[in-house]
Amino acid sequence: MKKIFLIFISITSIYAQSFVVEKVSGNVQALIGLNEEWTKVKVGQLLKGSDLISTGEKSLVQLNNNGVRFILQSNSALNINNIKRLSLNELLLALAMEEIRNVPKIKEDNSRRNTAVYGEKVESVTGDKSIFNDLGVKKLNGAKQLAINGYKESAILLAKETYRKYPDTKTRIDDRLFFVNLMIELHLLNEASSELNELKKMKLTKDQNEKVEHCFEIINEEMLKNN
Amino acid sequence: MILSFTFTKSAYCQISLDYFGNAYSKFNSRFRLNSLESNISNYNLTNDMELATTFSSEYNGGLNSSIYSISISKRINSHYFYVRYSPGISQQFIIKSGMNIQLPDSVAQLKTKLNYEEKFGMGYAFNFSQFFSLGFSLRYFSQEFTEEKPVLFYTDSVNYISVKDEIAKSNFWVGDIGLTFLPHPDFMISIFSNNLFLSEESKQNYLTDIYSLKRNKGITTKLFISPFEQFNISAGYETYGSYYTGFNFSTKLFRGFLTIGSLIFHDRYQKPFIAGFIPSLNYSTNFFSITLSGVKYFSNRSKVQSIDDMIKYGIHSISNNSYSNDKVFLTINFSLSLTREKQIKLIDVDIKDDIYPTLNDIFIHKPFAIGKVVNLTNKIIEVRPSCLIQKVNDEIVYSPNVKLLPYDTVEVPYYIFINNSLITKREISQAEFFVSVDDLEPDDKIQKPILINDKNSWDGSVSNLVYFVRSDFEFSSKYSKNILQSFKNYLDTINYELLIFNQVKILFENFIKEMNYVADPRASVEHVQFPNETIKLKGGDCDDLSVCFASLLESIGIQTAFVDYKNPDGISHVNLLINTNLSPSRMNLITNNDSKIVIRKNTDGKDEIWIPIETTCLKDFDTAWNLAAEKFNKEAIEEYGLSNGKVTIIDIY
Repeated sequence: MKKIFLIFISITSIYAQSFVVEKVSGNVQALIGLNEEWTKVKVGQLLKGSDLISTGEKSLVQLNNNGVRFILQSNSALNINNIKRLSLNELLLALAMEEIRNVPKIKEDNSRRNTAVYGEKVESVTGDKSIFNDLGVKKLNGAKQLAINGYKESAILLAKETYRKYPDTKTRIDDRLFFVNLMIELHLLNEASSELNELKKMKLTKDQNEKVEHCFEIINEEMLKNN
Repeated sequence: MILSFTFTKSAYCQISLDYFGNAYSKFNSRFRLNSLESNISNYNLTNDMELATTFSSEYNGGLNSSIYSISISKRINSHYFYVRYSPGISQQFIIKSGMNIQLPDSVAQLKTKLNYEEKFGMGYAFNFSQFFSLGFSLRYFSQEFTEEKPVLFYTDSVNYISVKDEIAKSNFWVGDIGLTFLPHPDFMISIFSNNLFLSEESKQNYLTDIYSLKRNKGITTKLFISPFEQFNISAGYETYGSYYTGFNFSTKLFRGFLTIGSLIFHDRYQKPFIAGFIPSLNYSTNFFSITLSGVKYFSNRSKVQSIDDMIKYGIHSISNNSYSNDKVFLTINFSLSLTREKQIKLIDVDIKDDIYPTLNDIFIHKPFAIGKVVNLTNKIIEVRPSCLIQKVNDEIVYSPNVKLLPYDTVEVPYYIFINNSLITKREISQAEFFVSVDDLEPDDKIQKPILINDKNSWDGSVSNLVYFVRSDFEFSSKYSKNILQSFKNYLDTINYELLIFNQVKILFENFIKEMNYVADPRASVEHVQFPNETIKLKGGDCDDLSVCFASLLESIGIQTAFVDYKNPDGISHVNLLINTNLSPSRMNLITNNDSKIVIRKNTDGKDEIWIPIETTCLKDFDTAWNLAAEKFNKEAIEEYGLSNGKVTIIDIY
């Protein structure tokens, strides 16, 4: 009963998640709500849960939520509701949702899907892909800053979400190793193991390979301890 | 005084034995292969009506054959009735006194004639359950003792001796009760009284005092054990010191079973210690049973015996006593039932769901009713459930077979296939549930009322909306293709990766043009429109609009899923997720804001971009997308709705 109550409090705090911009330096932009256009962030502006802030080169923004301050360094991005403390249970729930939302595997053949497209491919790409990749990298930077500031659970969640929404960021092996270590620290050994297995399939430098093997050793030791 | 006896008629063996010996087995249990002597409690598995006739034959100087007994029995539900006429259960003794009397014209030897008969009997049993049966028996006996006595006649001219008969009659009833307990199909125990209730019809005199049947009160216990499927052992013990034991073995032969049995018995009043044995041979089918049995005594029955012993020990059983001869019996039992023997009973049927015609597929995979069936036999049988619902089916729908162990009770599922899915009126119909063991007539049936909803009725489960989506694909496909055809030029020029996204956008913008949001009518059952009805009526509630738009997309191969938002107040909401088939790395083709998309792994493990759409937002595509994304992010993600079950994604395949 107590646990349920605590989660309820935590969820309630999510709704109230809003920060006031205390300080802006350089190029700081925000996507407010579900808007498609970035706007400049101003001091005194109130940013809410789903708002996404992004900092440029040599820029930063300082946010304040009833005395709780958070500084987002340069080349970083995150949603306002990423800046929150999650319990390990909440993190596990959120990670479980990743699986739940997938299309369930069906046994019978689903040959009904006839989405083949006939005719010539018309290459008329709209939108700037590089900007998008930048946003993915910025989100990873934001996640790292969350971790450094003690929001480790939120950092892992943001990193996982970023890897799915911006798959090109998966090639940033050092970043992934950073979050693997974070998972190990939080005893999310299966998740860490799964990440490492994916990393092993990639082209790694000698140093990266050693780090991966080291992480595996730590996981094995932890698992032995737990058994 | 030495007397000699002459037996004119005699019968079988001791008090709790009957002429069937040990012929009863699990394979012929539908026939009564015992009688009132060994089955006072009248436990029986006769299905309906049965006629049995027994012929007896014995050698006592010459072959003497006669009808021994005729019985008829009838079962009415748990009640079992049995009546027996037994002309063969009789024994006559002629006791010669050895005293000769000179009559005027002859010499007469004085005799005493003893005549014992059991005229008829009847029995009743009530089966309280498959484990327990209680019953009683009544038998009517007749005795007549005639003693020849010398009488002196005095006349004026001469005195002479004549012979006069002194006749004593003694008729009486014997009533007994008994119970049979079957804790297991392979174990049966019966306990019954001997001579519990006695009712004399005649006055006693010295002859009846001497010669009347001895009617000691006692208790008999019988056991039946089947250690192997085809092998049975039985034993019985009478409290006044007689007992027997036997076995039999059954094997399948042609369309019936052959049972060979043997039984030996010890009788307190007969010698030697094992007084005799009864071999038996029985062949039973579903319709008749023939038993050949006999009694072989181990003592010499033809020697002259002392009348003193007879008077001292008395006659305890008409059919089995120290003076009975070896006999052979032939018994034929006929099943007079015109109905098939019921092997299973349908105790009850629990209807789990009302019938929703449009959800037909569900009823093929999920039972709409559960029946409770009991195996009335001692065999493993396979039950075939079937049902027929008026106005839903034209013919009986069979469900998968279910195996039942002997006397076991199990639940059987009933599935239904709805022939008439276009039912327009909601009404109560009658469902007939059957259970059968073979392909003949059903063994049992139950009729129950069931609610048949109309084609637009829905059970409230969002996952079942998919049946409404699928039901109108032909219409939806035509409708979608018509609209897309008018945008052919535009669609031909766009990036192929964006084809689906743009098709969705075009279809939605056109779909909402004429739509209005109209809530369901107040009713006890949820109502969902088919896509063609929503288009025709130009409106509906969230279910109708989501079903319709999902159908328009699915019918042209665009993957969709319902998002079911459950509210504690019971008012739920449903909208859609639509697969753009875009990979996440191409997100920038459709949006700058990653909060508006949902990444889902497809069945091949590849991530794809899905977009949420609020089908009740009739303003424009972007607003509908934003509204749905906002709701999804808040309730499904931030509030962990997907984890705690408050939000469910239901894919439409």
